[in-house]
Amino acid sequence: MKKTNYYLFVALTIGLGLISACNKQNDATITIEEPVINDTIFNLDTLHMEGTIIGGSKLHGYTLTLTNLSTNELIYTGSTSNKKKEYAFHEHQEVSVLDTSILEVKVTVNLNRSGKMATKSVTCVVIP
Amino acid sequence: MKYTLIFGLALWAFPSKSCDICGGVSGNASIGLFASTQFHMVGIKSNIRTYRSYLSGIIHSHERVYQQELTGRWQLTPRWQLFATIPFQIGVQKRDLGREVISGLGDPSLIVNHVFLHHKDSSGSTKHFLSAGIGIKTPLGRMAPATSLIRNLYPGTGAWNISGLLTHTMRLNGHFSIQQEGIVTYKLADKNGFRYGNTYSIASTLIRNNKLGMGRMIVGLGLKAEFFEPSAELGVPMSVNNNQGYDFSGQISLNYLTNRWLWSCHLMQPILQNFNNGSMKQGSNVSLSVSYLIKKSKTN
Repeated sequence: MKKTNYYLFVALTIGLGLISACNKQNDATITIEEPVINDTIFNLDTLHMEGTIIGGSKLHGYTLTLTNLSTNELIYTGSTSNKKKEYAFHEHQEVSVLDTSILEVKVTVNLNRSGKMATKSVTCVVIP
Repeated sequence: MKYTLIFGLALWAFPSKSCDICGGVSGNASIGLFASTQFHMVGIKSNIRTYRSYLSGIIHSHERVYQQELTGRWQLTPRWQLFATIPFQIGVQKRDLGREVISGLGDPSLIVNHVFLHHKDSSGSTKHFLSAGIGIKTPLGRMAPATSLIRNLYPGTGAWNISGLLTHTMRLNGHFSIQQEGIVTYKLADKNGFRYGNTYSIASTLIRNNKLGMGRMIVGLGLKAEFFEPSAELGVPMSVNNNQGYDFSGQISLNYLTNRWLWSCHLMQPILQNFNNGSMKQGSNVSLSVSYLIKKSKTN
């Protein structure tokens, strides 16, 4: 009986350890190098979306979006589920607007498998 | 006996061109070590080059450039040779968030080579060989649109290149010889005013030539240094992402020559490099080629 209790204790300890490892705290430093905050670009120009994501430990992917906040139009979206500790992105998108618009570049990072996220965004202005 | 005529002439007859990604696109189509032979040749060559691009020290993309070339060599006279190559290229860039594939005809190139010195010993083996050539790369391949941000992935540059080549081969002893080759490539601007920087390269290769089976195995082991000047727009050198840099690479070449065929495998691996202030690195460069040898006519 003593032996059974011992094995049970070890199994519980390992199980709790694994659960803890799976849900351990993680964080990410997101840097958006381009566009810079409140940058101004002209209609039909190519917008550079450039930056880095550095995690405290391995990250579970990220999503990059470009949204026209003036019209709520999603102009660009890209995502990856590659698991890495750090990412660099550099995407381009030609922007076409009818009126002066505010665009938002947003990065959403999956910090762990349980769905914890970190986000960062910058906005810029497009002049027709 | 006929093989002894090419003694000591290791050979990548159509070695790799410099990289497109780093702006080389140099048309550094060296004439290699077959220069002292008298064969006409036609062949095909498959080549893969790899690159990695970095942003703030983090890998941002992987590039692979696949190239298939149709190659030819014609011995006009004992002193004059003509080399030609027509490439087809597929460039692939893979990023976390996307993938680009650009394919098309590359820029054909032509080299005219003149043999200044060709000393042989009593057995007909080459002791000293010296030649100089001039090459052009024609802007007939698919070039990038003026606004493209992945210009280096395109198979053509849209510009003429003019190269000067100097090749020297010297026999060291029974099985070994050494070859030096220097290439300078002057690049002109494309129709939009973009101009890749000039390139300079020098290579030294130790060659061993042995009889093996029905043919000869020719193995080359060498070092190559390349320097790239900055690219320019409308005559003004670019300050960033200008493709400026250098690399020092090790090279291994395995060649098997039979009566009618030449089989070659060539590996180039950068040892030390710096392009775009470290934001681009070349990886391995591997090529395989096979050429059919056409015996020259007796009038040559």
